[in-house]
Amino acid sequence: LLAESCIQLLNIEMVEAIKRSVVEARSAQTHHDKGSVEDEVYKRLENIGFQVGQRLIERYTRDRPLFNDTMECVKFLCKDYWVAVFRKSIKNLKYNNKRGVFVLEDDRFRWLLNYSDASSSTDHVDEMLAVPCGLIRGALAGLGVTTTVTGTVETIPACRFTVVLKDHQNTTR
Amino acid sequence: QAYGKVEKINAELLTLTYGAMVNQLLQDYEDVDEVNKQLDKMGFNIGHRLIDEFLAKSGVRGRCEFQDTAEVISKVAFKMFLGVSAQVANWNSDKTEYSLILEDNPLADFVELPEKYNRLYFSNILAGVIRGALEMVQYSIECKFVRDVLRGDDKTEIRVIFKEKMEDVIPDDDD
Repeated sequence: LLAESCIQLLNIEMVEAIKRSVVEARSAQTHHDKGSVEDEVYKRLENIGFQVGQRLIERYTRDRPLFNDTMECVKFLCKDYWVAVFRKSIKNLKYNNKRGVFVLEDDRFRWLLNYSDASSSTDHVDEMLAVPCGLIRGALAGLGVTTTVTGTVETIPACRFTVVLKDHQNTTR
Repeated sequence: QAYGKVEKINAELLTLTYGAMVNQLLQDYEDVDEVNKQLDKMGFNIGHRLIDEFLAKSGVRGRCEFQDTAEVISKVAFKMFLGVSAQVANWNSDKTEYSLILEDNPLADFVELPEKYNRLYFSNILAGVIRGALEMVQYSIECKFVRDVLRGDDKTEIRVIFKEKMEDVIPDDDD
């Protein structure tokens, strides 16, 4: 066990470090890459989260029976996984069955606690959720559920994650 | 006892996240020295922020002699934040340099470095954290890894070198 502030502060600095590396790579190039710097930074951070999420879920589910359906996977994610990773369970889970969309609301997302007083600008606050989004997508992928995950900050430290099932159309047809 | 006052997470979350990030930086920069520098820089910023929580929860006073920082960092701070303690060793005769020997390093669990990265100081962020935190209590220091088990050394050793005591520029009773 170690202090939670380590991961919270690491997340803040990770965003900055990846940003620096992307900006530097861009300045070294003569031709312009497609896509904005912000998108590239977000993609890399999300990918870091994804890799970690996949490995974590494997550890956390090793001694459990398999899940029967997607709903069970998502419930596990909101309770056990959320507590293990973010130290509290999700406040509110909404599910739109027709569109295959889950909305996870956390009224006090702990990774934003250190951020609120650490930074004056809230313009780029969504990128603070890149790694957490990856952690969610990676965990679900590890359970065999393919999704896209986006995060939005409401008022710090409240935020919301929208999980869209990829194969939803196919499975319900 | 300070260890009990901070909120805890499973070490593997930090370990895996840190490892994935270092891996990404290695791919981006393709230059181990630059990655060492970036890790140190990240640590420095973290140290600046971490010191507040440390002083609030550890019961350690901000003002202490440089010699005392060795005990405070190795026994209190490492324990409080990383859940492990370090050994203090290799003082120089002037008592302006010492080493922290890490028996256990949570950042480096499950890590193996390929040959081509043998100049990487994987946990270099820790050196930055120490430098950043001490700067906030007016000690300008140099901090660097001198040995690392990941590079095949027998121990992991961080060297802390006193440079100067900075003047207190912030008034004590600012509001």
